[in-house]
Formats: sequence, structure tokens, C-alpha cells
Amino acid sequence: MLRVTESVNKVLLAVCVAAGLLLASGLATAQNADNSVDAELAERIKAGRAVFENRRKGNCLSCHLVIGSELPGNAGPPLIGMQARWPDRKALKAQVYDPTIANPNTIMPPYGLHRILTEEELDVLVDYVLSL
Amino acid sequence: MKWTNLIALLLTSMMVAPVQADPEADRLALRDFYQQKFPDIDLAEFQNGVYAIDAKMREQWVEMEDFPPYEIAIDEGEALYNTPFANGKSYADCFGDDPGVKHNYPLFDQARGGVVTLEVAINNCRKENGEEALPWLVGELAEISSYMAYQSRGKSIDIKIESPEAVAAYAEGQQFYYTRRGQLNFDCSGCHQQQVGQNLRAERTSPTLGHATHWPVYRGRWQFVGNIQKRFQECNIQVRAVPFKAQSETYRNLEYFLTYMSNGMELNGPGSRR
Amino acid sequence: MKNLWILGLVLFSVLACDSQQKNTAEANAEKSAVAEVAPVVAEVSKAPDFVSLMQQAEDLYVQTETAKHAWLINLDRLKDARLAAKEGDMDKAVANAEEAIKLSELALKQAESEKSLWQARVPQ
Repeated sequence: MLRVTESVNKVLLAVCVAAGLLLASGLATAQNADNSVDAELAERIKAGRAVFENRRKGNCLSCHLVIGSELPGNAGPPLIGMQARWPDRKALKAQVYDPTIANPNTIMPPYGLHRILTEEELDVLVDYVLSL
Repeated sequence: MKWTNLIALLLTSMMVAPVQADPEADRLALRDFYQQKFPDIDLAEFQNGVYAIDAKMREQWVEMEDFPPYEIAIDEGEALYNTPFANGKSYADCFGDDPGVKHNYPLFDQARGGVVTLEVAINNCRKENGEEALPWLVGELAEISSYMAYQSRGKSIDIKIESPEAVAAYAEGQQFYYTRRGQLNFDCSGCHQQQVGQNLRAERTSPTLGHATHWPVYRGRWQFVGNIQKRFQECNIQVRAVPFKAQSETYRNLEYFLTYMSNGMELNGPGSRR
Repeated sequence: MKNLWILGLVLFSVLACDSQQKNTAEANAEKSAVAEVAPVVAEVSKAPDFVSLMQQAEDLYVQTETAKHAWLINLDRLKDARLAAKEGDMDKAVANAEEAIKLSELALKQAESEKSLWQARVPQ
């Protein structure tokens, strides 16, 4: 009798767990559907940050301060309030592509023109910079 | 000849004549540039490189100078300098009784038709005495030049540019210094003049004036003593340009120009840098 | 967990790239890069299109060296092109050779425009 109760309990537990899992995954899917745009942007910003910080890619911290960054340089302007300063996303991308067009004397490398970054890397980089 | 023809001839010759480099005017203009940029700093201070403009970094550097990491190189260099060649002669037969001759290098050698750096002169001395040339950038050659630099401390850099060929070599070095290259599109003056003193991550960029006073250098990043052309290569690599060969004409001319910019400044090498 | 793996891989590849770049740079610092680039073309491939493309890429690179404006990254692209051709991956080989050509064209453009631009940077 005891054994029977035990096994019933086990089955009950298993059913509960399975139901719980189902419910959880169902909820998660629903949430994903709602936030998929945000989640995608978050991924792009994350990828952009990696390009920004990587010394063999953007290496942007060499010259630009970002709030919370360690040992930033100051040869370029700090990157704060970028949405407000660059309302036109295309203009910001063009600036990173070849900053010597706006200022021939700038020492900022032409990241796009000189093929330092790929088109995709430029795009996610701009997403990240606009999030600052 | 009619006077109109004469004027025409004069005008055309003025237009055709190449712009002649004026090293002394360049040097004075460079000094003015830094004086205006750092009005509170005595120009003689620039022999200390970036430590002239950064008090905090200077403190650490002065502490390090109590037990300088280049000391062993000076001792090794002295021993090497005083070891006679197989033919019984020695470096003193090439350089004279005083090994402290660094203030005269690089010099323009009319007979050889090019710039001779101290390192080239050391290897020329070896070859003329039947010895093998030493590798350019590090090791024994850097040790010998460390000893010679140490013996030259306190002497003022005295580079001479006296022939049209020498002026041409200087002009080539100058053009190299101010020409952007590499995928990152930098010229030397971008960091060392336009943005001088700014932070690139944790490092501050040093002024052009005084760049030539303190070589060879023990660099923390290298963990050894190296010659100035080792640093040239490193700079070129940093901007993703293919570096040039040590003691190539390009780098010799660059060193000639760069050292002339520090003419009149006291030597204080060998040095240590982060 | 998966993220950790990806992070590890990224870190590893970044480190690997970094040290490779350094090695290439050191090697070229001592010996001329031309010598390394020149001879391999003929044996690389039977595809005549690729051979001429690669020849064009090598020639342009030598031009950037002569102009004293060679770019380090170009050496990697040329090396990758030759390697891919040797392994029979012609798509990759062509892509790298084409990239090398674009890089050389940019380096030559830089050499040309700098001929007049440098003087403005000299303090007067």
C-alpha cells in the first residue's frame, strides 16, 4: 500500500513538473513574441559593443570615453547622449565610415572606407553608439 | 636680352624651382608650436619626453630611475666596446678616445651618399675591421650604443645638414613623418603634435620635440633595451602599415629629420619608458 | 553555458588573430615582404581566371610597397587567397584576392593624396 502511494506520488510529481515546464515555455514564447524587436536590438547593441571595444576592430575606447569604461582615451569627444546628438542614424554611420569628409584633419580612422570594419560591423556599432 | 624676357625668365625659374626645405626654420617653428601648446613648460624639459607634461607619470619614472632597468645594458656595452677585434684594433680606433659621440649622429656622409646612424657607424667599424655586423635592433648593438649614449649624457645634440644631398635626405624624413599611412590612416604628427598629451587608453602621447634625446630605451612592453628604429617599426605596425627594414634609407632619413628637430637639446639616454 | 562557449571561442579566435598578426608583422619587419609574396602564384591553381586575378593582386601589392604605403592586412588577404587556392576552396580564394585588390587600390589612393596633403601638417 505504501509502495503504491509512493509510485502514485512519483507520477503526480512528474505530471506536475511536465505541466510546469509546458506552462513556462508557453509563457516564454508569448513574451518572446511581444519583445522580439527589443531582444533583437539588444543583441545588436551587444554585438556592437564587442566591435567597439575590440582592439583589432573598432578599438574606440582608445580615444572616446563611454560612461563606465575603464581607462578610456580622450583624443576624441566623449560618447554621451548620442541619440540627441545624432538624430539621423545615417549621418552617424557616414561619420564612422569616413570621418575625414566632415573634418579632413581628424585622426579618426575611416572605418568603412578603409575596410577596417564590415558593413554589418558598422551597423551594429552604430546601434551600440546610439544606445549611449 | 630685353628686360621683359629677363623678368619672364626670373618668374619661370621661381615657379619651376622646387620648394627647398629649410631645416632650421622647421626646427624653430616646431619649438614655437610646443611652447604655445605648453606655455608653462621649459622647452629643455622636453628631453624627458612625455614625463615633461605628466607629473604623475613622471613620479613613477623618477622612482624607476633609482634602479634603472637599462643599467645592465650599459655595463655589457662597456665590456663589448672595450673588447679588441681579432685584428687587435678596437672601437676607439673608429670613434676616438671618447666614446661619447652620440650627439653627432645621425650624420650625412657625403662619400657614402647617405645618412649614417650611430648603429650604422658601429657596424661599419666592425666590418672595416673584419668583424661580422651585429643585428640592428636589440642585443649587443643596442648595448654598445647604450654605453655610448651614456658616455654622451649632457652633450647637446649637434646634427649638421650642410649639403644639398643632406637637405634632400632631411626633406624625405620630414615628408615621411607627416605622411599618413597604414589602414588606420595615421601620420606621426597626428599623435605626437596634433593630439600631443592626449590619452590613448592609459598612455599619453609624447611630443616630437625631444623624441631623439634618450635612445636606446628600455621599454617595459619589450622587457629589453632597443634602438629607436625598433620603435619606428612598432609605430608603423600600430597604424597597420607594413614596417620598413631597420636601417633602411627610409628609416635613416626619418631618424635624421627627427634628431635634427631636437638639435641643441641635451642627451639623457639611455632611457626607460613604459 | 552556451554563452560561455561562444565567449571562449571568440576570445580564443581574437587571441589567435592577434598573435598571428604580430608574427606576420615581426617577420616582415626583418625581411622584405616582396620576397614572401612573389613566387607562389604559378603552382597554386589550374583555374586560369584565378591565376590572373591573383597575379593582379600580387602586382598591385608590390606597387603599394614601392609607394611605401603597404598595409599589413593586405599580407593576410594574399596569404589566405593562396592558402584557399591550395586547398581547392576557389570561392574563398577569389574573395580574398579581390579583397586584396581593393585594399591595394585604397593604399595607392592614400599614397597619391598624401603627396600634397602632408605639407599642411608641418608647423609654420
